[in-house]
Amino acid sequence: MLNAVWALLMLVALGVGGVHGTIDSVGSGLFTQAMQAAKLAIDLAAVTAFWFGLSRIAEKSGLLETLARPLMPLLRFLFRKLPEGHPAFPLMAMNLVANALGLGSAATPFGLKAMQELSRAMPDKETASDDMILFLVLNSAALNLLPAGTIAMRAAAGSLDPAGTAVASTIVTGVAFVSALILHGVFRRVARASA
Amino acid sequence: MIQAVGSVAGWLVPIFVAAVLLHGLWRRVDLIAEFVSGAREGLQLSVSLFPYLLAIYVAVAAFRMSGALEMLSAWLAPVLRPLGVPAALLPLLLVRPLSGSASSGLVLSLLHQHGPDSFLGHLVSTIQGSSETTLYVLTVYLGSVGVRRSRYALPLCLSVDAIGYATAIIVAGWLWH
Repeated sequence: MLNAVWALLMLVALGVGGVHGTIDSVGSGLFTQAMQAAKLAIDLAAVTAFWFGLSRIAEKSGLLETLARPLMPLLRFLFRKLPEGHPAFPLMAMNLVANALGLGSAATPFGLKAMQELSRAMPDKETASDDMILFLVLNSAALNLLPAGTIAMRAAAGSLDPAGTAVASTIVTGVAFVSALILHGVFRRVARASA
Repeated sequence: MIQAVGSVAGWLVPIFVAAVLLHGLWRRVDLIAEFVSGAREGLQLSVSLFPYLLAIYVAVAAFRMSGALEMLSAWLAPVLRPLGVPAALLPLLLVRPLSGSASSGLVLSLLHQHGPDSFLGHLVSTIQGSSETTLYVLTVYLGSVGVRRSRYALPLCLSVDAIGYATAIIVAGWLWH
């Protein structure tokens, strides 16, 4: 599926570029964008390494589990098949908390570690499990209480009330979060029935 | 209000870092050794993730620069306008799941063009603040553990995105129209 989306994006871009006379900028853009990606990756690697280092300390000291505790009943209810005390639980909790507070750069490392823990128990490593997909969809629904990046952009554009859309965003992510849970149940059942 | 929100966000990270270090000291964790081994793991992961990042980044950029994004928006506009979706919003809706930097750029230019406190300004801010770069998250998260078959992950996540966008349009209509 991701394979098809990627191929479609690339081929449509090259095709449209050829027909529209924009093929020059597409061609040179491929390489300037590849370099952009490398610059972004270096920044990301530094931030990821920092948060991985810090989260290792928090893991060893037991702080991670303490912080994750308030979210545990919800997570245990959502991920019923995971055994109690599974190491993915506190990592998923920290990922959701960091996301909710608008700390995207901290959320990603926790999310990636959670994926590793979820993957460890799987018999078939190349196929996404139901639990993995549930975690991903909760992530993309991204319950958000403090859209810091958007507030900064609105302030930069000269808004009189930069934080004015924060409540609306929170309502929207709440609706998305609930529909993510419901739709995951539907999709999982359909996938199982057709498998 | 803005200063308050800004300063809360500014304090969160330092407080968290301090709490982790103090708790680690209290529990007699070898701070520097654990930090370094965790950071090394993060670095190795980042290296193995780079090819996925590159693939997404280049494809999205090519799609935008070729003019394909504008064409697709122009085709979809007559279908979506009766549903209350402003035509100016379409490029953002199409790019939002694909690229964080591209959608931030679009939001900034829409805010400047239409004014941050206009209906459209409020609407794009609400959408930007309530959504994720879904395709990027899926590719990187699944890629990091070597999953090839994503099963129903993509259609599910895109459906949830669509519900989020529709909710944003409805909520913005209530609040600012």
